[in-house]
Amino acid sequence: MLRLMIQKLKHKKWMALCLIISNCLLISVASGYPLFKNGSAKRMLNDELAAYAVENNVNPGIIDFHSTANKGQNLNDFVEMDGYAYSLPDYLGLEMQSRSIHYNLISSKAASTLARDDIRDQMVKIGSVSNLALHSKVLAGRMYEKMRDKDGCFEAVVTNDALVKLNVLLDEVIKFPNLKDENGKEIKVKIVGVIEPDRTSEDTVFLSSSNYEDEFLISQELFSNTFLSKNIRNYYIHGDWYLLLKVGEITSKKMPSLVKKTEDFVSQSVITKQISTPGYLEVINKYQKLENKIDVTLIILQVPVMTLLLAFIFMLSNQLLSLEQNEISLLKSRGASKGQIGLLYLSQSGLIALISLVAGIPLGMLLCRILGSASAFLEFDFTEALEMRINGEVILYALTAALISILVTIIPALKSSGFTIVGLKQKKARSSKKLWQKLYLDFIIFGVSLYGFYNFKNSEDVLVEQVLSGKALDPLLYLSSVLFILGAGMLFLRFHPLFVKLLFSLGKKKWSPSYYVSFLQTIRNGSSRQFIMLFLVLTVSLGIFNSTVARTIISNAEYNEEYLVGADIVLKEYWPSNELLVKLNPSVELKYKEPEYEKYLKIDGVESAARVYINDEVFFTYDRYQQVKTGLIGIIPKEFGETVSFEDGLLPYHINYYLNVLSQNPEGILCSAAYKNIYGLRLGDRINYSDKDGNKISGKILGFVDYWPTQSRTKTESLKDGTTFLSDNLFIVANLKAVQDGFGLRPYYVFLKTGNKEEKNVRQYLSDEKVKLVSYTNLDNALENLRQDTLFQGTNGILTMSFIIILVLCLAGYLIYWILSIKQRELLFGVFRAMGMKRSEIFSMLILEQILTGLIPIIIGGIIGIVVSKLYVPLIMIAYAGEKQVLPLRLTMPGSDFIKLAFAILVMMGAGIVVLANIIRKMNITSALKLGED
Amino acid sequence: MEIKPKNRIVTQNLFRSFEVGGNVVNALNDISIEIPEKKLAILKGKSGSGKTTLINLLGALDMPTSGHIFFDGNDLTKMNEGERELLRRKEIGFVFQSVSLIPMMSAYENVEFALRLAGIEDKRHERIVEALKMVGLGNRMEHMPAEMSGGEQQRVAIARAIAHRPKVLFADEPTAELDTQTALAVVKLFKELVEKEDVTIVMTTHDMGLMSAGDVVFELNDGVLVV
Repeated sequence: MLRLMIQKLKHKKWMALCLIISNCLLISVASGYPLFKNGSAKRMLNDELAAYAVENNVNPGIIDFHSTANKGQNLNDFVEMDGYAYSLPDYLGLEMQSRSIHYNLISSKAASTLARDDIRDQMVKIGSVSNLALHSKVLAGRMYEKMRDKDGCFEAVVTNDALVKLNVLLDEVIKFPNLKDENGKEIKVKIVGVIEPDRTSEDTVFLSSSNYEDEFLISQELFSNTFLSKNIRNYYIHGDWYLLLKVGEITSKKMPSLVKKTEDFVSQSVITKQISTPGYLEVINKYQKLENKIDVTLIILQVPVMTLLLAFIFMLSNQLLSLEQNEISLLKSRGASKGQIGLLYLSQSGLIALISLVAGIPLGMLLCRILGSASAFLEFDFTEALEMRINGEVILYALTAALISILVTIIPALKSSGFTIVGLKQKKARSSKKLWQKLYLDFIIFGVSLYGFYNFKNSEDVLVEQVLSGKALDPLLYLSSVLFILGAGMLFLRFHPLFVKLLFSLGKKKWSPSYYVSFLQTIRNGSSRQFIMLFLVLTVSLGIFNSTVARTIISNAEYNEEYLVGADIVLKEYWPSNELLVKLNPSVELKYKEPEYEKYLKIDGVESAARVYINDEVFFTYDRYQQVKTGLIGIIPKEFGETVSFEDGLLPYHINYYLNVLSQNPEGILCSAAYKNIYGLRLGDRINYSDKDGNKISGKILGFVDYWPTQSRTKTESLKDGTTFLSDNLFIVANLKAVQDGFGLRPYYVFLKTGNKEEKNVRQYLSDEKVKLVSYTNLDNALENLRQDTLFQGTNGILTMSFIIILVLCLAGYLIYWILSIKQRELLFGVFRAMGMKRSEIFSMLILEQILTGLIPIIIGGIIGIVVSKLYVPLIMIAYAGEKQVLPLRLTMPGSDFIKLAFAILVMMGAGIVVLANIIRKMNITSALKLGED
Repeated sequence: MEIKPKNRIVTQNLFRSFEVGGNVVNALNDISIEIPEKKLAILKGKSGSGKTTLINLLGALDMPTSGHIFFDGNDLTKMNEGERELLRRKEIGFVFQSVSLIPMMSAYENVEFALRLAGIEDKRHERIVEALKMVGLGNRMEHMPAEMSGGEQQRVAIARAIAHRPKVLFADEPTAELDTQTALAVVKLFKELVEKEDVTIVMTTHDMGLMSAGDVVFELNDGVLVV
């Protein structure tokens, strides 16, 4: 039987090859998912850890706890904490990168033993840092010994800072009259060396930033033996325990137990008061939410392409089967049982699955590498490789895909093995409606998707809130869009024959014989083509939909980011003020000193600059509305207009129109639309607004604006129970001069417009001139960060991959189908030729057929793709943009992608025509006719 | 005085050889025959005797290696492909061994298609009905090929082949896949057609039982005419 099977495959090697390739693709997509997920999870965790370190200026892998023992009290805690410092990494299941224990005594009076005039008694700490020798270099003298020296002195080292501050000398002996050792003798310390702690290594991140400027550092062993010994309990000792854990090694799997154990540890009575929650807990918490969102999103995005692949495999095996039906029927007629035939096909698809498994997993890794390098839709950046590991999960996914593929292949075989040769002929005679048409599945699916769409559309606010609270893209939403495509595609199939019939009847009498045949072929034999037509509709529409989603995600995010940032560079300088004085004496007026502003205009590459005062804590009063919180933006209209990035079309008139009006009315203000919609204010109304110190300004409303650079229309507010909701954002735009007259000179932002790539000039200038900055935002950087977002990248990667697979399937599927359908009809073509039909007539007959069953579905697929994009992309975008979605969504349907798609289709049809021309050219009537005699 | 029947087809020293795996096989050797009009001519011979090759040549489907074929006095070997196509459309009908109907067309449409190809628009419907009635399928015109038996399908093929009133109907082993009863009916139909339609029919067969029906019989053996 094995021989029969292999012979069978050999005979149809092209089909078999296609089956293997599509199985490979299926398995690689399936195994690529966990590979990518795990790889990107790792990268994402590292990104989050790094971001935490930058934001909080603390390595998130640090666990530190502290204790103080006063004259023997709590001394047991020290023992316990020492124990934890050693056992904790194992308990948490994390590797330790480094550990440091720092003990010191409270400052004690110290006096030099030398007769020096320049030194008074001063307060010095005796301390010890574990592994100090490892993490510092000796500048002078030597490192301390673990034993007291022959005179009974403790050997100590000091930092350069301490040397200066404490004014001690190398080799000097300092005595501590108030400190007694275990024998009751006065403690003496000899300075044997000057050291410099090495702060370049991550292992030393917890070295004291004060640089031990008032400490004599002695050996930790000596310190413990002397001051922590249980015999003498009259010291006041402080202890710090630091652990740096390798948090980069945390995997998603380890997270739950790590979180639990960390929380358990932190809540222990000894520890709880003396520890701050380790940074990694916060990172994990954030990461888990994000990971869930990404996982769900990636799975959802993959479903369509997997389904298409399965459909393709189904189609192929069906084709293969239809070629083999005679053989099957023959086998049956010769007494092969249904089981035996089933077994034959089972082992055949098993063999194919096995080959595909072997090839599919490495292909999956390649795919995953490409995925992880997607910088935008159909764009790649291979600089940062994704770390990939084949684990059980990957194998599981691959095996499941292989199994499903076997099932899909075997089902039609089992079904057809039920027919005998007689049954086959009977079956061929039957041409009833398809089951799905009888069940009105197309209407049902389409209806369900429309219902879903209107439901989502009506509950857009709910969607927004879900996303804001960290939920992923709603699977049902995406499903609904895919159902829409499927339903519309099936509806098309139902109406396609009617359409062709209509076209046919338009010129029934006039159609040339060749067109007459193609029309009839399409109308009558349509059902065998339904699958390929549906396939074409699905691939084209999904291709368009995918590309629109992917492109829109990025361009929309960029568009919003640009608007929210406001200009190419937005920075705020540090303004010196008398703030401290005001705190002590509230009657003093708060005064700021304005840094020079003109300097920005002189920087090479800066095209224009603007001063923008932004205050979110302003209160307006109008009529019965008292002290309502609002935002305030103070601008100088001319420079603002020249500097901001603001898309035309967001406001009814160009922004310059509003700025002109504002500049002509020093007291005039522009208000956000909410003033009109919620508070019923009208043009010309006068309102008062004040800062939190009570300084009041009066302004006349000159206009209402829906959008203003940096200002979102709505803002997210959260209640105490954690629920978030959206509320309208109130803001006032006023002349900076009026604001400064009313509120006084206050720190403002500087908006800069720079030429292309000139941002580095600005940064260079700021660092050269040592300008003290409070904040600095560079639009290009912000945009770059957006693109590197794992969710965006994964989405782009998967959509790109889907798009490419779709193109390949489309091409291969169509060609296979096309070639087979020609091959199957060679006899018929021979008959046509014998009846006197020209080659060119057969050619044009097939071209029309290709138009009717190929081009029309492709066009319809394009239309469906555009419609589904217009309907669903705005909803899907909610999941990606979340609170950053402040502008009306703009769909990005890039012509270039469509051109790529169209090009692929043209290549496909062109290849079809070439194959066709070749077959017809080679076709010899007499041998074609002989085919029929076999 | 007896009018000598006109010859519809005349061949002169026909040779046809094929190259098979580097060897030249002479499928036909020096065939010179005359087929009179309005007769049923039978080419008989065993399988592989060259009768299909000969009928393909006579029907302008194939070109001889050397020799001449005159169709109504016109030399087929001097015609270009377009002229031969036109000839096949207008003057010739074919019936093949295996069923050669267009599967997605009904009996009626199959016949109509031949008329379309021949460019006949006048009284098309009447002619289709007539042709189908002639082959005894007047009541099954709307049936699809798959809904008919092998014999019925072959009769539709015959109707299609004669609908455009060709001068010659070529039938290559039209009865090979039919049972004896049906085969006899087909031959009987041919005889009727010769009479009613004034058509010349050339058929090949290896069935000795049908031989007697022919007005003219040629026997081929290994590509050589047996006299």
